[in-house]
Amino acid sequence: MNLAECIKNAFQNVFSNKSRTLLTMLGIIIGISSVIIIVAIGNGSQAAIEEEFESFGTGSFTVSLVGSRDIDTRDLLTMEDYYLLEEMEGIAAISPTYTYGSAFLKLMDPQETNTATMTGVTADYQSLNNDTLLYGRYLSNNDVNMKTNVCVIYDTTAQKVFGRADESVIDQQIQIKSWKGTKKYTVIGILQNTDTSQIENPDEYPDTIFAPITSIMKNYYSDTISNLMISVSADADTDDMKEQILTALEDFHGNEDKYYIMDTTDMMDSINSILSYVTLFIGFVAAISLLVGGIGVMNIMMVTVTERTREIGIRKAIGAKNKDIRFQFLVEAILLTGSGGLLGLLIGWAGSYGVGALVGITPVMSITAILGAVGVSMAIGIIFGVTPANKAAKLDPIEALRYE
Amino acid sequence: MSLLQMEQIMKRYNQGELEVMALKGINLTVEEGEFVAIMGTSGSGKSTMMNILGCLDRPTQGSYLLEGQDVAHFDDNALAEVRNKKIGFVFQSFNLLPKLSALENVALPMVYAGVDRAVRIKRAMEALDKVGLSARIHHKPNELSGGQRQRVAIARALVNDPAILMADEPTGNLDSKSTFEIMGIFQQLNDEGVTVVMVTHEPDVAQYTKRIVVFQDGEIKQDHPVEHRVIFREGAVQ
Repeated sequence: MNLAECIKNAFQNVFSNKSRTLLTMLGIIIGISSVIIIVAIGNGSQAAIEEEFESFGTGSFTVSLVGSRDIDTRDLLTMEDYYLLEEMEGIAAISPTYTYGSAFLKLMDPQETNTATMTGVTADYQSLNNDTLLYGRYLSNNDVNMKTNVCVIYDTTAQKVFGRADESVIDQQIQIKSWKGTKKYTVIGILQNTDTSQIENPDEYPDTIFAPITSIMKNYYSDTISNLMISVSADADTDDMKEQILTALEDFHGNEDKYYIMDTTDMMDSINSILSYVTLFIGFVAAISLLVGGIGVMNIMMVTVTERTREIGIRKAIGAKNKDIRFQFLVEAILLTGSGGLLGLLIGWAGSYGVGALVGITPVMSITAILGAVGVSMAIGIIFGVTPANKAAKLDPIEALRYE
Repeated sequence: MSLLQMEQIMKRYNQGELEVMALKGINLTVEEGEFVAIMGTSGSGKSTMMNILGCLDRPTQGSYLLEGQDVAHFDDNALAEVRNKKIGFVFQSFNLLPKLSALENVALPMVYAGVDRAVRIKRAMEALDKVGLSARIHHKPNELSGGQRQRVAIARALVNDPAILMADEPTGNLDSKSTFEIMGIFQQLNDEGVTVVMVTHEPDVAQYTKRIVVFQDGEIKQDHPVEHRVIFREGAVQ
């Protein structure tokens, strides 16, 4: 019996009883669509997290003081620590940071201000933070030495303050108010803001202003720095360097276990692994629903074989071989689960965007998941269709013809 | 060489503890062009005989030569092939597939024979034409009368050009008018050279054939030619 005839036949039989077919496929539809949704949302959130970390600057880590009660004055990080580590071999880039967050930036309308995060850094910070310069220049070591009141700002900030973000903003002044007085900073460079959510809603986020750390510490009366951001050179061993840095700081301060290192790459890895475990677990639950769906298909195929015993007898009497009958029922089972899989795929696709819109994640469709879904549903047809098909194939033609 | 030659055919059934001997060593020869009625009461072994003749079942013992091939010990696959190519079945309850049209039903044996679609349709139309049903080829079985259904079944039995036509009580579900017509078709086919073996328990129907074989208790009790044969004539209704 040829394949085309067999498929045509299967279509007739499977779709002649629409409600039963739909109910049978339901398990497969639910299973496949939930797998598609879970994978798409899982991939989507992974991509979102990666993008988030990308803006932090990967390959770099920060050294900070531990947040515990028994901290002594001598433990605090200062510019001295920066000068100490700057000399260390194997360090590619290093910048101390000091952040003053309770300032307000004067906007275009003189009545309006926005929260500003004054971030003191050094020249190396640009590469550590993966910032792209659009106009002007970045902070230099000379700016740091001279404690000059210059700054670099994001294009989004320039837009808010000047109504434009281009060359003409360079050398313009911005005013920052706080209870420590109003400070004036000269804009020397404009950076590209790559944070999509900030670009979309710039008014909802505070503006970050980068200035020489020495100037920020002077203007906002600080002797200490917040932390040190470091990247190591390509040929150095990262873990080894981290160990060396901590030891150097402890020797310098004469203390122990007062500093810790936060690595964005490590964090991203651990978040990703948690996420993939969650995806795997939910995927496992979805797989169980596929299994249940498969059993449903097997059940209905068993019923179908019994109902059509006489038909099987007739087909055998006029010359159908056992393998013809087996193939016929197998194709029907595959058609049943395959169409269920296809429907599940469509529903899952639509559902991904629905759920994505609900939780604010752009779903990422993977070809693997799509091909996998169709493949798995057809495989379920084969796995759970074999037993009923064999039952049909093995029927004795005389008994089958007698069946009422 | 005879078309069909059986020697010492035995069939034993095990019904739990009880052993039933359905056929007790049958010798039967049918030549090409014969029209044979197999008669007998229920339990006489005629149905078992029909199943073995039609290659739906294998004898426990004995040899069965069909066109020179000993089919008594063929496996399932080989028997299916024999049923497909050499035997045409006509059943009491028509046994048509309800979801298929008359044409599709008739074409079905050719599907299993691996015949191309275009050829299948052409030959199925010819077969339906032969039984006088060319006007109703797209009707489903439930849209046809009993006599018409049996004509479709005969067309299906003929379509692969079998060596022998096996009919199992072909008129058992038909009124007398249809019975008359169906027997006429059998006679016409037989005149054209088709060998027909028919199981029946109605003596009237058996009178249309050329030879009557009577079974009793698993043995052949009588085997004789039909003396006063009824001949179907167009328009003559019994």
